[in-house]
Order: sequence, then structure tokens, then C-alpha cells
Amino acid sequence: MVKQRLRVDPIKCKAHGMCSELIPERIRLDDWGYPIIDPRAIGPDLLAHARRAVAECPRAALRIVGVDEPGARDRPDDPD
Amino acid sequence: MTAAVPTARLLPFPRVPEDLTAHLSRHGERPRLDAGLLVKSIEESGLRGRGGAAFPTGTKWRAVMQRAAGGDAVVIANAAESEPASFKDRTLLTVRPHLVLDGLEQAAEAVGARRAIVYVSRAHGELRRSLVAAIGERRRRADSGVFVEVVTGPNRYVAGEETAVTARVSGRLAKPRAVPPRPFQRGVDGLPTLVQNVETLAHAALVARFGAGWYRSVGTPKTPGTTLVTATGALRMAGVLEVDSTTTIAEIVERSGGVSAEPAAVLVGGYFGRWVAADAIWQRTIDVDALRGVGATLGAGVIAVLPVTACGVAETDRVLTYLAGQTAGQCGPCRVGLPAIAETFHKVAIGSARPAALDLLARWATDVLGRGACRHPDGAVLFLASALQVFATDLRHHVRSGVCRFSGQPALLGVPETEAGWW
Amino acid sequence: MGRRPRCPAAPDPFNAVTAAALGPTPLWYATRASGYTALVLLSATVVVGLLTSMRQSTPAWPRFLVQSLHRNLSLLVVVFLLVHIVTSVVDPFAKLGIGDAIVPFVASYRPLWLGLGVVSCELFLAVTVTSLVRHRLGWRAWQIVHMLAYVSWPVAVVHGIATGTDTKSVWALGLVTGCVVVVVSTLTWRLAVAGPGIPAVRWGGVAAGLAGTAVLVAWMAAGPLQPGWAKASGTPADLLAGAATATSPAAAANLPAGLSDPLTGSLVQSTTSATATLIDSRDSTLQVVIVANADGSGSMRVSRSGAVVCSAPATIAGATATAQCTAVRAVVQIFQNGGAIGGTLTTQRVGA
Repeated sequence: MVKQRLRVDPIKCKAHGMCSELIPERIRLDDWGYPIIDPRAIGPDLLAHARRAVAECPRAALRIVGVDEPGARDRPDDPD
Repeated sequence: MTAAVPTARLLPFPRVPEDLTAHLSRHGERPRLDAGLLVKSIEESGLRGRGGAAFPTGTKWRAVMQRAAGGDAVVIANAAESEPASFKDRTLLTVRPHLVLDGLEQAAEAVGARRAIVYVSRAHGELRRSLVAAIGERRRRADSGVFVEVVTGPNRYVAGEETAVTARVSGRLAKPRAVPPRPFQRGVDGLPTLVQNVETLAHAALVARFGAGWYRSVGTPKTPGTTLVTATGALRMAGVLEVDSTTTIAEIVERSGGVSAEPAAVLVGGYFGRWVAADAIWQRTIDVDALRGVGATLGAGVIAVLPVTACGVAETDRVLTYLAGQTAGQCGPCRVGLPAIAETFHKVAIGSARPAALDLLARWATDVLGRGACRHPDGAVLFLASALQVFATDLRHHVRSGVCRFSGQPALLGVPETEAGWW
Repeated sequence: MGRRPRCPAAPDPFNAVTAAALGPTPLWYATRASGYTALVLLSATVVVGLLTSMRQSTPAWPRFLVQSLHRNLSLLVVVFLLVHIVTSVVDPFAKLGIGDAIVPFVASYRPLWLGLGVVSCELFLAVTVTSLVRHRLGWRAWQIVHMLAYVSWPVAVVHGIATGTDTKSVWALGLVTGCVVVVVSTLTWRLAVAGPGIPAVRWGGVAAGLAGTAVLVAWMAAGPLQPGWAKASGTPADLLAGAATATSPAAAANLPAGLSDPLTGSLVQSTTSATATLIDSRDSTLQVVIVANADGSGSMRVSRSGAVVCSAPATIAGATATAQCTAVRAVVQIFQNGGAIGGTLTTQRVGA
């Protein structure tokens, strides 16, 4: 079973803030209302909440991905 | 003691623009190599990107080659040089355009690209003209090889970012895009795209001629080859130098005519780079590990020396305001966070902030890190974090009194006028 | 149009007049009630949708809950719209078919205004369906369709006012006024606080909302609130009331044409007038009363199950009384039948 985590598309996100209401265990808001995602894996107890947060995002900016999916920040020496 | 000047591979003296005839008499024709062998050669050379991220060039070429396999690809020479303190790319492209174009054509052949593009900034009109002339020279020859186009982008800091370049070449606004997919997977018009800094392509052109071993004969095993740096700041003869990874900061300064005043700190990399205390870095080389030891990377090759007679806080303030204004405005933490950070830092600089503002800045810096689609906010906040550390004493002074003896000095780190558009 | 031959033993249940003569059906009330309910719910949906986009929340109502409420309200609108449409089609009164509920402006009953209801409903369905598949559609496409809600709602309001039987009543006016006031003021608030980046667009939206409301009020005063609106809006002639108010559908029914029925009844004579009261032998619910005055004037009144179907002056010529009931001419011939009287009733459609 691949471990999963939440990831947000920073361009789509418009700080509606519903995600942090629905899964505060993994998402908190910064001083300007934008989500800071905890990269830790989502356990089976949180999966339903994570899915609901993904479904409720008005901009479809939130996704559940495998923890190994390359993101924008995962490799410090990214190609420029 | 003057260290031995490394082999001038990219920028030989005198630095006069080299036309096609001069280029051919120096280096001869560009070799036509088997793609696989060439890519292997690039990989073995250990050449890394010279645009700021230092990604292994051979790995990039192979990735594009594999994804293009049989189909089409695009190669782009990134000559945007949107880093205001850097001059190396413009200098190289003006003096040795044909070496860069050789590298571009080499890359196009290797990955199977039908389109080769040089991407320049609208602000560099002279450069564009000389480039077009050089391309014209090559086209007039019978076996001119790949068709090279010039595409112009806006004079904006993030317009030189890899995904912004591919967006602009695709006909859209020069704004960065969220990754994945990266350009080597899906770039211009959805094709695998190789975006490479012009200096990197020049090195690649030499590796194609002289081989990986030759490339590695200079520098350290971990950081082989030569590299261009822009030495600026409180130096008698600021300019572009060709150095290798055994060169120390002190030697760079010496080759630039020495300091015009006692150095306080050095900005390494660019406006997205790091401040380092002068005495911590002076005897260090620009080797990757040596710089990492003081929390810096070579980045875009900018070495800017701040003298004790200038105000690091004021310089940082100006650069932060510039960086905040350069956001593409796509991601909240950057669009809203960077201006908030710049404004707060400015208040600290002019003395209208409380000491708690410094803690706020540190917290915001960690909050913003890694939360944009591109690395623009990262560069800005890591630059800020280095300033908070290196100029800690000055900052505490500024919080209390708002000015220092050196406020009001002419700007060391200049910022260009920004244009309004994104085309 | 051809008429089915009347079968006296089994009244055709889909004969509008028969149905109307039975009085207001539950279906007719259900249509009106569900229509007003749907309008209220649609207005609430729009308001809560605006609150969602403004990121409004309270400790008891976090943002995801406000969005959930918006979604649930819209689903309730679907339910009541379904009731509204099904009852209006099944109800024989306005003679609406399923096609009239799908293709706008082709109905025989107030075609323009009913058609607006069809348009509003279809726009609303587009908004709802795209919202259900929002994640697959991509935000930009979803957003463009969702803006149609700002067309669907005002069109629904106009449809309700123009088609509604209850428009002039106090409660309906109050309800519609309430809906319009709440929606327009919430929209104004939303545009004033935030919204599209270009100020001109935002203030244009405010102006459009306020101007639209003013136009609505002016139109209502000049149109639906005026007497005669039912006819002006395209109610078919045979459904219009004679002189009665528009609230009683039975009164709007008319005397059927093409009758040729025997009558039986009685005659009462006085010094000034003679009154014949007759029942239709074929349709015992139909009663004819003719009054012949000494001065030569007369009147005829036809009722069905006690409800007046026709009441008009009659010309008396010997034993024949002729009256014009809107588009139908009724002729009654009377003769002695022992101690009682008999007669025949013939009706014919002629131009009014």
C-alpha cells in the first residue's frame, strides 16, 4: 500500500481555507490564509477526511499523491 | 602572490566579439557526433548547469533524448540573464556567439530537436542584434545545420525561469508553471524541451570537441571545468572572470583589481543567493562543498563584495523590495508574502518597526519557503535569512535608530526598472 | 382543430373544461406552491453561494459548511422544480405537454413568460450538473457555466411574476420582494467587498443589479399588477374568466360549443317576468336559467355544478332565447311538456 500525502497546487489555490477546516491534522493556514501542508503520510484514520478536503476545495487545488511523487521542492538541485 | 590564471576556455583575451571566420579559425568546424556518444561524453565530463541550479547537464540531455525518442523535441538557449547583478551570459554571448550556437546545435542534434531557440530579454537590445547577426552568418553557409530562432521575453526576474521560458516560447505569458511536468517531460507545445543556460552550452560545445577528460583537467573532481563569475561591488575593476573551482574569493577579488574598501560581507550567487561574512568566505574556493560550508552556492556566479562603508541592511532592503515586486502573482505565499516581508524589512531598515519584527521576518521566511510554483519566493526568503544572520548586529541597530553612518550611500546592488507586461 | 365526439356517459378526464368545472385541482395548487418554494430556495442558493465566495464564516458555520449548505439548497431547488414542472404538465388546466417544459416559448399558455421558466430551469440544470462533475471539468470551464446562475435567477423571478396566478396577492408580492431584496443586496455587498479585480466590472455589476431591480419594479407596475394581465400575457381565451377574478379556474371555463342537448325543467311566471329553469338531460350538471322580462329584455345563465359558466343578456324572440357567452352563442328553444317545460340547448362557436 503506497503511502500517501496531501499536496496543493500553489497556482490554483485561492485561500478559501476549507481544507484546513476539514483536515487540521495536516493543513494549517499561514498568516495570509494560504495552506501549509504537513508532508507526513496520511494514515487510514485520516484518509476519509483528506478525501473530503480534496472534494470540497472550490478550486480543485488539493490532491492526494504518493509520498514518492516528485514535487517542486523535493530535489534541491532541480534543473533550472 | 598571483595564482595561475586558469586556461581561458570561454573568454580568451582580448575580448572582442568573434565572428564566424574567427571562430572557425580558432576551433574549426563543429564535430558531427553520434548522439549517444556525445551525451555520454557530457555525462562523464561532470558539466553542470550554469543558470543557477547546477543540475548535471548530461542527465538532462539524456532525459530529453529518451523522451523525444523518435519524435520531436525543442532546445532553448536561455540568455535571459534576468539576474540584475550578473553579466556573464551577455558577455559570453556577445564575445563568443558561435561557441554558444555550436553548443545549441550540438544539443539539438543529440536530442533530435527540430527547433532551436535562443531566448533573450527585451531589455538587451544590443545583444539581440549581435545575436541575430551571428545567426545570419551561419545561415548563409551551405551546411548551416539546425534552424535557430530568437525569441524575446519581458525584462522580468522570473521570466528567465525554465518553465517561464517554455511558456513564452509557446506563445503564452512568460510566467512560471507548477511542476511536474518539467520542460524535459512536457515543454514547448507539449514537446520534451531542453532549456540550457548559454554558458553551459558553450562548455558543451568544447566538450564535444575536446572530450570529457579535457574538461575535467581543470578544477576539482567534484566541480570540474571552468566557470564564469561576475565580480561586482566594492572592486576596482568589476567585471566577468573565467575561474575554476580551485579559485578563492580572494583571488577573484585580486584579479578584479582588489577591493576599493575593506570588505564586510559578500553576496554569493545573485539576488536569490546568500550573504556571507567576508572573513568567513575570503579564503574559500568556489568549489561546491567549500561554498556549502558557509551556506552558499555559486548560483548565477555573482560575487558581490559589500564594503564596511556601505549598509548591508539598506542593500538588502532594496533587493527585497525589488524581488517582492517581481512576483508573477500566481501563488499566494509569494504574491502576498513577499511584499509583506519586504515591507516589514523596510520598516526595520528605517527604524519604524519593533524588535519583534525580526522574529516575524524569520517566521515568515520559513513559512513561505517551498510554497510557490517556482523558486522565486525561496530565493527571496533564503536571501533574507542570510541577511538576518550576517547583518544581525546592524539590524538591531537599525531597529533602534533607523539609520546608520552608511545609509544614504549610492546603491551597490542596483535594481532595473521593471516593464509592465509579461510578453 | 377537431373535436372528439362527446360521450355523455363517460366525461373525458382530459377535457380541460370538464376538469376545470370540477374546481381548482390539487395539481394546480401544487404547481403554484412548488414554484414559489423553488424561487425562495433558488434565491437562498444564490445568497449562500455569494457568502461562500466571500469566504464568510462564523465559529458555528465554518466555510466548508457554508459551501455544503449552498450545495444542499441547490439540490432542494431541483426537487421542487421537478414537482413544479411535473404537476404543471400533468394538470390539464393549462394544457401543457412535456415538450412545453423542454422547448421554451412553444406553449399555448402564456408562451413567452412560461418559456422564461423553461430557460431559467435549463440554465439552472447546467449549473448544477457541471458542479457535480466540477473536478473532472476543470475550474475555468466550471466557472464560466456557473456564472449563468446570475441569469437563471432573475429569469426565474420574471417567470414567477408573469406566469403566477397569485402575483397580485399580498403574500406573493411580499415573498418575491423579499427574495429580490435579499439577493440584490447580498450581490451588492459581495461586489463592494471584493470580486473581479477590475473595479469597473464590480461597480458595473452593482449598477446592473440596482438598475435591474428598478426595471423589474417598473415592469411589474405596468404589466403583471395591472388588470387584464392574464389576457395580455397570453392566457388562452378559453381559460380566461368572464367577469370573475382570475383566481378561480372554474370561472374561467366557458360554455362548450357544439352542444345540441335536450333540456327539461319548469317555468315560473310573474307579472313582470317569466323564469325558466332547465337541466340538460345529457349532462345533469348543466343548468340553464332564462329570465324573460315584460319589457322584452332577458338574460341567460348557465351553471355547471353550481358554478356559473355563462351569464349574459339574452334576446327573447317568442320561445327562443339567444345569448352570447364570450365566444359561444347559446340558443335555447322552449316548449310546453305537460305541466313542465322542455327545450333544446344548442351552442355554436362564433367570433366574440
